[in-house]
Amino acid sequence: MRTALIGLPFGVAFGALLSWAGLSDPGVVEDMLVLRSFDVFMLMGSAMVVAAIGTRLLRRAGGRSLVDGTPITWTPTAVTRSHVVGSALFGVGWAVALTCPGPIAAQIGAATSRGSRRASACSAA
Amino acid sequence: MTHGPWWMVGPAIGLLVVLMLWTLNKPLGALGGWVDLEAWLRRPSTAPTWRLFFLLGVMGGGLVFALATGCFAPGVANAPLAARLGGGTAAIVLTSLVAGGAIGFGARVASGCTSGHGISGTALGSPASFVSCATFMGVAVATAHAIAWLSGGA
Repeated sequence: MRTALIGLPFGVAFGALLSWAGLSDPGVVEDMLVLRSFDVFMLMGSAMVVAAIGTRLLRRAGGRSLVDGTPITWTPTAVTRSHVVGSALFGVGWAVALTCPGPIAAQIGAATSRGSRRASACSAA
Repeated sequence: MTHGPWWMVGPAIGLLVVLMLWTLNKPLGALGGWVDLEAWLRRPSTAPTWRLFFLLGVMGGGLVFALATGCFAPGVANAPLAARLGGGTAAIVLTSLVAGGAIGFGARVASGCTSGHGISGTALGSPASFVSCATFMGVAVATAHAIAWLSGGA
Protein backbone atom coordinates (compact mmCIF):
# COMPACT_ATOMS: atom_id res chain seq x y z
CA MET A 1 0.00 0.00 0.00
CA ARG A 2 2.73 2.45 0.96
CA THR A 3 4.70 1.48 -2.15
CA ALA A 4 1.57 1.79 -4.27
CA LEU A 5 1.09 5.38 -3.08
CA ILE A 6 4.35 6.31 -4.84
CA GLY A 7 2.37 6.07 -8.08
CA LEU A 8 0.36 9.12 -7.03
CA PRO A 9 2.95 11.92 -7.45
CA PHE A 10 4.06 10.47 -10.78
CA GLY A 11 0.44 10.52 -11.92
CA VAL A 12 -0.03 14.12 -10.77
CA ALA A 13 3.07 15.18 -12.71
CA PHE A 14 1.95 13.28 -15.81
CA GLY A 15 -1.60 14.68 -15.64
CA ALA A 16 -0.33 18.24 -15.24
CA LEU A 17 2.17 17.84 -18.11
CA LEU A 18 -0.51 16.40 -20.43
CA SER A 19 -2.79 19.32 -19.57
CA TRP A 20 -0.01 21.87 -20.04
CA ALA A 21 0.77 20.36 -23.45
CA GLY A 22 -2.90 20.81 -24.37
CA LEU A 23 -3.51 17.09 -24.85
CA SER A 24 -6.70 17.32 -22.82
CA ASP A 25 -7.89 19.73 -25.52
CA PRO A 26 -9.68 17.91 -28.38
CA GLY A 27 -8.77 20.79 -30.71
CA VAL A 28 -5.06 20.15 -30.21
CA VAL A 29 -5.48 16.43 -30.95
CA GLU A 30 -7.56 17.21 -34.05
CA ASP A 31 -4.86 19.59 -35.33
CA MET A 32 -2.36 16.77 -34.83
CA LEU A 33 -4.34 14.01 -36.53
CA VAL A 34 -5.35 16.05 -39.59
CA LEU A 35 -1.64 17.00 -39.81
CA ARG A 36 -2.36 20.71 -39.36
CA SER A 37 0.23 20.90 -36.56
CA PHE A 38 3.16 18.62 -35.81
CA ASP A 39 3.68 19.78 -32.23
CA VAL A 40 2.22 16.64 -30.63
CA PHE A 41 4.33 14.39 -32.87
CA MET A 42 7.40 16.40 -31.84
CA LEU A 43 6.32 16.17 -28.21
CA MET A 44 5.97 12.39 -28.35
CA GLY A 45 9.19 12.02 -30.33
CA SER A 46 11.24 14.17 -27.95
CA ALA A 47 9.74 12.37 -24.93
CA MET A 48 10.68 9.05 -26.51
CA VAL A 49 14.27 10.12 -27.30
CA VAL A 50 14.87 11.54 -23.81
CA ALA A 51 13.34 8.42 -22.22
CA ALA A 52 15.33 6.10 -24.50
CA ILE A 53 18.64 7.76 -23.60
CA GLY A 54 17.85 8.17 -19.89
CA THR A 55 16.63 4.62 -19.32
CA ARG A 56 19.68 3.15 -21.07
CA LEU A 57 22.08 5.29 -19.05
CA LEU A 58 20.23 4.17 -15.94
CA ARG A 59 20.51 0.50 -16.85
CA ARG A 60 24.14 0.79 -17.93
CA ALA A 61 25.04 2.49 -14.64
CA GLY A 62 23.63 -0.55 -12.84
CA GLY A 63 20.77 1.47 -11.36
CA ARG A 64 18.48 -0.13 -8.81
CA SER A 65 14.88 0.64 -7.96
CA LEU A 66 14.73 3.32 -5.28
CA VAL A 67 11.77 1.51 -3.77
CA ASP A 68 12.73 -2.15 -3.63
CA GLY A 69 16.37 -2.23 -4.73
CA THR A 70 15.73 -4.52 -7.72
CA PRO A 71 18.09 -3.95 -10.69
CA ILE A 72 16.54 -1.64 -13.29
CA THR A 73 15.50 -3.78 -16.23
CA TRP A 74 12.75 -4.33 -18.76
CA THR A 75 11.72 -6.97 -21.27
CA PRO A 76 10.85 -6.15 -24.90
CA THR A 77 7.54 -7.63 -26.03
CA ALA A 78 7.27 -9.57 -29.30
CA VAL A 79 4.62 -8.45 -31.81
CA THR A 80 1.34 -10.37 -31.90
CA ARG A 81 -1.83 -9.95 -33.96
CA SER A 82 -3.54 -8.41 -30.91
CA HIS A 83 -1.17 -5.44 -31.03
CA VAL A 84 -2.24 -4.64 -34.59
CA VAL A 85 -5.97 -5.36 -34.20
CA GLY A 86 -6.28 -3.60 -30.83
CA SER A 87 -4.25 -0.58 -31.94
CA ALA A 88 -6.32 -0.21 -35.13
CA LEU A 89 -9.54 -0.10 -33.08
CA PHE A 90 -7.86 2.24 -30.61
CA GLY A 91 -6.79 4.53 -33.48
CA VAL A 92 -10.38 4.89 -34.72
CA GLY A 93 -11.66 5.73 -31.24
CA TRP A 94 -8.81 8.18 -30.69
CA ALA A 95 -9.59 10.03 -33.95
CA VAL A 96 -13.32 10.19 -33.18
CA ALA A 97 -13.17 11.22 -29.52
CA LEU A 98 -9.87 13.16 -29.93
CA THR A 99 -8.59 11.89 -26.61
CA CYS A 100 -6.87 8.79 -25.19
CA PRO A 101 -6.46 7.03 -21.81
CA GLY A 102 -4.02 9.52 -20.20
CA PRO A 103 -5.77 12.74 -21.21
CA ILE A 104 -9.17 11.13 -20.45
CA ALA A 105 -8.09 10.86 -16.81
CA ALA A 106 -6.86 14.48 -16.82
CA GLN A 107 -10.16 15.56 -18.39
CA ILE A 108 -12.15 13.65 -15.77
CA GLY A 109 -10.09 15.34 -13.05
CA ALA A 110 -10.81 18.77 -14.51
CA ALA A 111 -14.46 17.72 -15.14
CA THR A 112 -14.28 18.92 -18.71
CA SER A 113 -13.55 17.68 -22.19
CA ARG A 114 -12.80 21.09 -23.61
CA GLY A 115 -9.22 21.48 -22.44
CA SER A 116 -7.55 24.73 -21.68
CA ARG A 117 -7.19 26.35 -25.12
CA ARG A 118 -10.89 26.75 -25.85
CA ALA A 119 -11.32 27.87 -22.28
CA SER A 120 -8.51 30.40 -22.61
CA ALA A 121 -10.96 33.18 -21.86
CA CYS A 122 -12.28 31.38 -18.79
CA SER A 123 -10.19 33.34 -16.29
CA ALA A 124 -11.48 36.56 -17.78
CA ALA A 125 -15.06 35.36 -18.23
CA MET B 1 -3.27 30.12 -20.81
CA THR B 2 -1.05 29.14 -23.69
CA HIS B 3 0.13 25.57 -24.04
CA GLY B 4 3.58 24.51 -23.03
CA PRO B 5 5.85 24.20 -26.09
CA TRP B 6 6.58 20.61 -27.21
CA TRP B 7 10.32 21.04 -26.63
CA MET B 8 9.64 21.63 -22.94
CA VAL B 9 6.77 19.21 -22.25
CA GLY B 10 8.15 16.36 -24.40
CA PRO B 11 11.55 16.08 -22.67
CA ALA B 12 9.82 16.59 -19.29
CA ILE B 13 7.59 13.57 -19.98
CA GLY B 14 10.67 11.65 -21.12
CA LEU B 15 12.40 12.48 -17.82
CA LEU B 16 9.28 11.38 -15.95
CA VAL B 17 9.51 7.98 -17.70
CA VAL B 18 13.16 7.68 -16.58
CA LEU B 19 12.40 8.81 -13.03
CA MET B 20 9.52 6.36 -12.72
CA LEU B 21 11.61 3.46 -14.01
CA TRP B 22 14.31 4.41 -11.52
CA THR B 23 11.86 4.62 -8.63
CA LEU B 24 9.40 1.80 -9.26
CA ASN B 25 11.28 -0.16 -11.97
CA LYS B 26 8.06 0.04 -14.04
CA PRO B 27 7.37 1.65 -17.42
CA LEU B 28 5.01 4.64 -17.45
CA GLY B 29 1.63 4.13 -19.14
CA ALA B 30 -1.92 5.32 -18.59
CA LEU B 31 -3.79 2.19 -19.67
CA GLY B 32 -2.59 0.05 -16.75
CA GLY B 33 -4.38 2.30 -14.27
CA TRP B 34 -7.69 1.78 -16.07
CA VAL B 35 -7.11 -2.00 -16.19
CA ASP B 36 -6.39 -2.03 -12.45
CA LEU B 37 -9.36 0.24 -11.74
CA GLU B 38 -11.68 -2.24 -13.43
CA ALA B 39 -10.14 -5.13 -11.45
CA TRP B 40 -10.36 -3.16 -8.21
CA LEU B 41 -14.01 -2.17 -8.77
CA ARG B 42 -14.81 -5.85 -9.14
CA ARG B 43 -12.94 -6.71 -5.95
CA PRO B 44 -12.79 -3.62 -3.75
CA SER B 45 -11.36 -5.72 -0.91
CA THR B 46 -8.02 -6.03 -2.71
CA ALA B 47 -5.30 -3.45 -2.07
CA PRO B 48 -5.15 -0.66 -4.68
CA THR B 49 -2.11 -0.98 -6.94
CA TRP B 50 0.50 1.68 -7.75
CA ARG B 51 -1.02 1.91 -11.24
CA LEU B 52 -4.39 2.75 -9.71
CA PHE B 53 -2.78 5.52 -7.66
CA PHE B 54 -0.99 6.69 -10.79
CA LEU B 55 -4.34 7.00 -12.59
CA LEU B 56 -5.82 8.84 -9.61
CA GLY B 57 -2.80 11.13 -9.78
CA VAL B 58 -3.37 11.91 -13.48
CA MET B 59 -6.94 12.94 -12.61
CA GLY B 60 -5.56 15.07 -9.78
CA GLY B 61 -2.96 16.57 -12.11
CA GLY B 62 -5.69 17.59 -14.56
CA LEU B 63 -7.65 19.24 -11.76
CA VAL B 64 -4.61 20.96 -10.24
CA PHE B 65 -3.62 22.33 -13.65
CA ALA B 66 -7.13 23.61 -14.37
CA LEU B 67 -7.36 25.31 -10.97
CA ALA B 68 -3.82 26.70 -11.08
CA THR B 69 -4.36 28.28 -14.50
CA GLY B 70 -7.76 29.68 -13.59
CA CYS B 71 -9.35 27.51 -16.25
CA PHE B 72 -11.57 25.26 -14.19
CA ALA B 73 -14.67 25.12 -16.41
CA PRO B 74 -16.66 21.89 -15.92
CA GLY B 75 -18.82 20.73 -18.80
CA VAL B 76 -19.05 18.34 -21.74
CA ALA B 77 -18.26 20.98 -24.36
CA ASN B 78 -16.09 19.59 -27.16
CA ALA B 79 -15.73 22.15 -29.94
CA PRO B 80 -14.38 19.84 -32.71
CA LEU B 81 -16.98 17.14 -31.96
CA ALA B 82 -19.76 19.73 -31.79
CA ALA B 83 -18.70 21.15 -35.15
CA ARG B 84 -18.87 17.72 -36.77
CA LEU B 85 -22.07 16.55 -35.14
CA GLY B 86 -23.98 19.80 -35.36
CA GLY B 87 -23.70 20.73 -31.73
CA GLY B 88 -26.16 18.55 -29.76
CA THR B 89 -24.96 17.61 -26.27
CA ALA B 90 -26.64 14.18 -26.48
CA ALA B 91 -24.82 13.45 -29.75
CA ILE B 92 -21.49 14.51 -28.21
CA VAL B 93 -22.03 12.31 -25.14
CA LEU B 94 -23.17 9.30 -27.20
CA THR B 95 -20.29 9.62 -29.68
CA SER B 96 -17.81 9.99 -26.83
CA LEU B 97 -19.18 6.87 -25.13
CA VAL B 98 -18.94 4.74 -28.28
CA ALA B 99 -15.49 6.09 -29.16
CA GLY B 100 -14.45 5.64 -25.53
CA GLY B 101 -15.43 1.99 -25.78
CA ALA B 102 -13.25 1.57 -28.87
CA ILE B 103 -10.38 3.36 -27.10
CA GLY B 104 -10.63 1.22 -23.97
CA PHE B 105 -11.25 -2.11 -25.65
CA GLY B 106 -8.69 -1.51 -28.40
CA ALA B 107 -5.96 -0.36 -26.04
CA ARG B 108 -6.61 -3.32 -23.77
CA VAL B 109 -6.39 -5.81 -26.64
CA ALA B 110 -3.18 -4.07 -27.76
CA SER B 111 -1.87 -4.00 -24.15
CA GLY B 112 -1.05 -0.32 -24.37
CA CYS B 113 -2.02 3.18 -25.44
CA THR B 114 -0.42 6.43 -26.64
CA SER B 115 1.76 6.73 -23.54
CA GLY B 116 2.49 3.05 -22.77
CA HIS B 117 3.26 1.99 -26.34
CA GLY B 118 3.80 5.38 -28.01
CA ILE B 119 6.32 6.83 -25.55
CA SER B 120 7.54 4.27 -22.95
CA GLY B 121 7.43 1.09 -25.03
CA THR B 122 9.15 2.62 -28.04
CA ALA B 123 11.76 4.25 -25.78
CA LEU B 124 12.47 0.84 -24.24
CA GLY B 125 12.84 -0.66 -27.72
CA SER B 126 9.87 -3.01 -27.58
CA PRO B 127 8.92 -4.33 -31.07
CA ALA B 128 5.26 -4.65 -30.02
CA SER B 129 5.23 -0.96 -29.12
CA PHE B 130 6.73 0.18 -32.45
CA VAL B 131 4.12 -1.84 -34.34
CA SER B 132 1.28 -0.68 -32.08
CA CYS B 133 2.35 2.97 -32.30
CA ALA B 134 2.67 2.84 -36.09
CA THR B 135 -0.75 1.16 -36.32
CA PHE B 136 -2.71 3.55 -34.12
CA MET B 137 -0.96 6.62 -35.53
CA GLY B 138 -1.65 5.52 -39.10
CA VAL B 139 -5.26 4.53 -38.43
CA ALA B 140 -6.00 7.67 -36.39
CA VAL B 141 -4.52 10.01 -39.03
CA ALA B 142 -6.49 8.21 -41.77
CA THR B 143 -9.70 8.26 -39.69
CA ALA B 144 -9.29 11.97 -38.85
CA HIS B 145 -8.87 12.77 -42.55
CA ALA B 146 -11.90 10.65 -43.46
CA ILE B 147 -13.99 12.44 -40.82
CA ALA B 148 -12.80 15.85 -42.03
CA TRP B 149 -13.66 14.89 -45.62
CA LEU B 150 -17.08 13.48 -44.69
CA SER B 151 -17.99 16.53 -42.64
CA GLY B 152 -16.89 18.74 -45.53
CA GLY B 153 -14.27 20.52 -43.49
CA ALA B 154 -10.61 21.22 -43.92
